[in-house]
Amino acid sequence: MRAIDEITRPMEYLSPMDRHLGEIIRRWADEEVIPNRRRYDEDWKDHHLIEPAFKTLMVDLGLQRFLFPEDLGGLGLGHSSYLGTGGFRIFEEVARADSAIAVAAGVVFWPLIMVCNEPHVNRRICQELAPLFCDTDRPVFAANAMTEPQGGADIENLDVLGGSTIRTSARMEGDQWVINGHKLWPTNSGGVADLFGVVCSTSPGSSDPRDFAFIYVPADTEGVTQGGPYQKAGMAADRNSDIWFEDVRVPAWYRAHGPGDDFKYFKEVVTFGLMGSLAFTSGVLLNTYELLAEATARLLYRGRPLKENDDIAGQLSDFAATVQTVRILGYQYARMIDRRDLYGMPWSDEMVARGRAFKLLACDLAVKSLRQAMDLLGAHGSDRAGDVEKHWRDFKIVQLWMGGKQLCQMEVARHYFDCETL
Amino acid sequence: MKNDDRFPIPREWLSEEAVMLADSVARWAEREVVARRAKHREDFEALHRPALRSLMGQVGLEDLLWGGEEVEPLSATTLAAALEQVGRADTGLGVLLANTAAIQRCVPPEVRPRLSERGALGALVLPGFASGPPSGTGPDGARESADGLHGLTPQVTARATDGGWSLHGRAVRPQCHGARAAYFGLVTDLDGEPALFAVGATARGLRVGEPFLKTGLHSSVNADLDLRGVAVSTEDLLVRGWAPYREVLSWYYLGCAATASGALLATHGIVDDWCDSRVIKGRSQPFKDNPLVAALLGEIGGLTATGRILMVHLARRLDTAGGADEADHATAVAITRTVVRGAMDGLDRAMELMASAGYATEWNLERYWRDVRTLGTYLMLETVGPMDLARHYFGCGNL
Repeated sequence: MRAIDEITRPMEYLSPMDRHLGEIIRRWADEEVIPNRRRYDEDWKDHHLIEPAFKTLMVDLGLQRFLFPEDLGGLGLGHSSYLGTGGFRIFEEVARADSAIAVAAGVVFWPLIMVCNEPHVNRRICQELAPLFCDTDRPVFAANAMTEPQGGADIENLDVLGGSTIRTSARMEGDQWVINGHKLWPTNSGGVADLFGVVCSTSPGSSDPRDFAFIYVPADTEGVTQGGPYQKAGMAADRNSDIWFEDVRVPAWYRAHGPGDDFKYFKEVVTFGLMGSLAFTSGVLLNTYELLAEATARLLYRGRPLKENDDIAGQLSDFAATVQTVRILGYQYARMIDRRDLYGMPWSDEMVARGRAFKLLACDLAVKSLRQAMDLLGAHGSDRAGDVEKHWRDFKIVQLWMGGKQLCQMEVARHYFDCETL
Repeated sequence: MKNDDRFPIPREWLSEEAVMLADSVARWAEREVVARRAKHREDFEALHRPALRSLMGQVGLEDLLWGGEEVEPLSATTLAAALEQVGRADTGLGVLLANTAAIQRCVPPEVRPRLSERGALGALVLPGFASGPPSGTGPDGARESADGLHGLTPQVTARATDGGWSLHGRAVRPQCHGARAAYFGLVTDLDGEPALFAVGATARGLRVGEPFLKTGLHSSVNADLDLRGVAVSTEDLLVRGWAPYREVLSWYYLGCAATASGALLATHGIVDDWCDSRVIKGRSQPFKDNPLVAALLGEIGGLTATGRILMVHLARRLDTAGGADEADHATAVAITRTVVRGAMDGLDRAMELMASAGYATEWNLERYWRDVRTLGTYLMLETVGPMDLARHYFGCGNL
């Protein structure tokens, strides 16, 4: 047994496929990603080095087919009662290797959740999209186009703003939606995604949930323009860019569900984003734990291994406590998603608030612990050859995304303290 | 409002020379670094090398750092005022100059020409954690060999020869700029006491490795060194004994604290600009006027204000006391730890406010974030630092 497998998680929650899923993803991580990942930062623009790892994960291991129904060529996870815990294990293992690959792969699921997950499957859209993801030998990516230049986190601030700040418009002409707008930062933009789930408004400025629309737009549709990828502090395997939609036309039935339901089920997208963030956090911490265990046994201070010094051991214990806490919290949230009968629907306000609270704590703990891990290793901590610093750089954005830390705090306060005017 | 008015420091301790030099460096920073970095990003050859040349030559820092017959060596307060402005422009350049200044203070005039023939910039090689299995492990897990320098292992060993010593070391890692430094200040252990040798980068037996990748501080190009019997004499022995070694470290820490203070000033400027153009909650509420945002802005402002003041206090202390005794050294460690940690906290808070804008290179915040983090790891202020403090403040004799 590897040391990281001894970091406890609630065994009674695990899916029957947990061991199998974990083993195949870990093998991929150990063989294809971890030996190469320190060179990914120089590959941020072109992804020549990163693409083979994506190919194995998405196509050969079938990740891009996971959510679709079996009869459409998928693996049917969208109607599994282990979608939460199974998904958590997958993305924990992927993030252990590289959290940017984890988010790029995870966001493929994000727009598809709207139409592939029980009980709100949109069979017609599933049939339309399944061949793109299931009948191919190349990795296929999707993206959620949400954030806009003027609003930043406002798009995700659904409870307060109700979509009123969304300026990307969807106008019905005949049997088509005509979409116009400008989006920033979606994971898998910058020329990566084949499909966008576009958050837009049928009546810009309205806070009526019925005007919130989630519409699928194939990336090669006329009028879609993607900018070049942004250069960032880390997360090289995840490309982000501006996207412009200029009189983009798609069939009317490309809207996920319709007035009111798009708004409702979009909250499930948020829930899964939070669960994914927790899985990434756990994976990053697990690998950092492995790296720390090796380095603190090898490096010497006061003539003995670093870990055998009381002061260092005290800090290592804090790190271990963080890994353990985050992993249990993450699996607990994933289990809540699986047990709707006990915890409510994944699009409920309660589930969103719980996820925000868990993510808030887990990310704060992880940011602090990763910084501490770098400090513990001295100059080795900022050496790119050591990989700890990569996790530190990559992970910071996990704390910042999905509306940022402050929105997270406000949603938690609103739910747990009944704040009415925030 | 100028930074000195917004974040006041004890001005009575700053000489006219210090103020003038800081102003001059601030103008250099805008002209040579800030205005050009959008185009050249972190490219050493295109941005940092010309900027350094201008700083050392036109601004005159090279002469000021060396001192000489007609030029007094820089006081600690003047050095701090200048390095803060360098750090505001680029943390890596500040750290490089902190290294250079710490070594140059110890170099006697007769040795300077030999050391500086290839350039003005130097890098310290300090003790660190050794790597590899402990040899001769005793029953309690401790290595039987000497305890090193307060538990740290010198990266360089010195063997006595007829005319002096020969220096040896494999994969020796300088604090910065190993690939380009003109000379190195190498710390070793001579009979249980620290010693600092000056060695030119072209010395026989010294091999500079390939530059390696690191988190930040890209304006100094670092590389590991191999020393295979580098011959040194008493003339090259700049420092021997704990007191003068502590003085070297105290001055080095001051340079780093000043640099980190500059990074905080830069952070304040970036966040201030960014917030000016933002609204929150779609209600045209200025970002700055949201109380949650304001609480974080307040934290950043407080860290900047206190970091600056503490840093100048440290400089003043070194000007008056020198930095060699244990109390001065402990003060240097304590203040530098507080300022560097504060800079990292401030940068973390700033990135949390700016979210993805802070994470992208466009706003330049992430560069300071990576740089200060890298500086923090090299200084070992969160592992070895507390031991230094406990040794002095609580008399922990066996640490």
